[in-house]
Amino acid sequence: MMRTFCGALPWMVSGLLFAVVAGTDLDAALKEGDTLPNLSDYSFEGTLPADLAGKVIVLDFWASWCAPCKASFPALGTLQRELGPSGLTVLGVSVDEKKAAYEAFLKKQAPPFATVRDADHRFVKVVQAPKMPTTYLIDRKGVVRHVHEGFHGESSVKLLREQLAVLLNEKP
Amino acid sequence: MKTTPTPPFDSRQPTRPGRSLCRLYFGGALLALMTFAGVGCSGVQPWERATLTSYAMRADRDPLAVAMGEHIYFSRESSTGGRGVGGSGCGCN
Repeated sequence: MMRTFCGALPWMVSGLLFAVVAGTDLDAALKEGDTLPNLSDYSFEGTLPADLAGKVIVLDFWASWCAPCKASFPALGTLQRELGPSGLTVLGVSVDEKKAAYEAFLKKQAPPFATVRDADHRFVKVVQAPKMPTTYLIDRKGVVRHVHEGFHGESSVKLLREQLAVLLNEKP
Repeated sequence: MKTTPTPPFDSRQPTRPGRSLCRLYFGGALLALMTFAGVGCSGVQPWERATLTSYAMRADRDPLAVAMGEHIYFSRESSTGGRGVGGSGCGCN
């Protein structure tokens, strides 16, 4: 019995190591203080805004099947309209798998900001967005300063406005 | 009466080496398989929940089925409205 156990020990150790590696998320989630990955490295469906350098970016992950995302769109649109001239760019990244659902949602919402679709989920897997929606506030240097998980109506809008006011006042 | 002495049984007597090795590897492989199978579960990521949020996944998508389910529930449990309606569930309401 002891010999069997000793013989099986390497198997057990390797198995446990595999379990640890498999259970560990190797992709580091994008968090506050991290630099935003280069968006041009990813193949999005749609056109990215050309002039993102030096802008404060609101990077919003959304999906057509997500009710809070739908609720957040008018608020994000208002932010884009009001703060766009001050240097704000709202960029929506859809994680919709179905192109038709994505297009129907955009047609209905008609957001005044740019949206692209991460069809193969390559970007969202790198970012590891914890919820739908998740909104990242990125400063003029391309550093993630705040992460908003979910959308909670007026309280979220108020907090976004406060944080964006600080970021927009910073020099590039 | 003279009895023939039985040879002492030694449980530590080595078995055939080939058979022992086979057992050893079989046991190891079984344990490894169990370990691998144990980590086979994975969670659904937030961006993969389109199917879960679809209307077809809702438990209350069919009002008639819900009504029938409720009827069966209170008939068996004697608790009218015991699920979803305020009350003690004692059947006295």
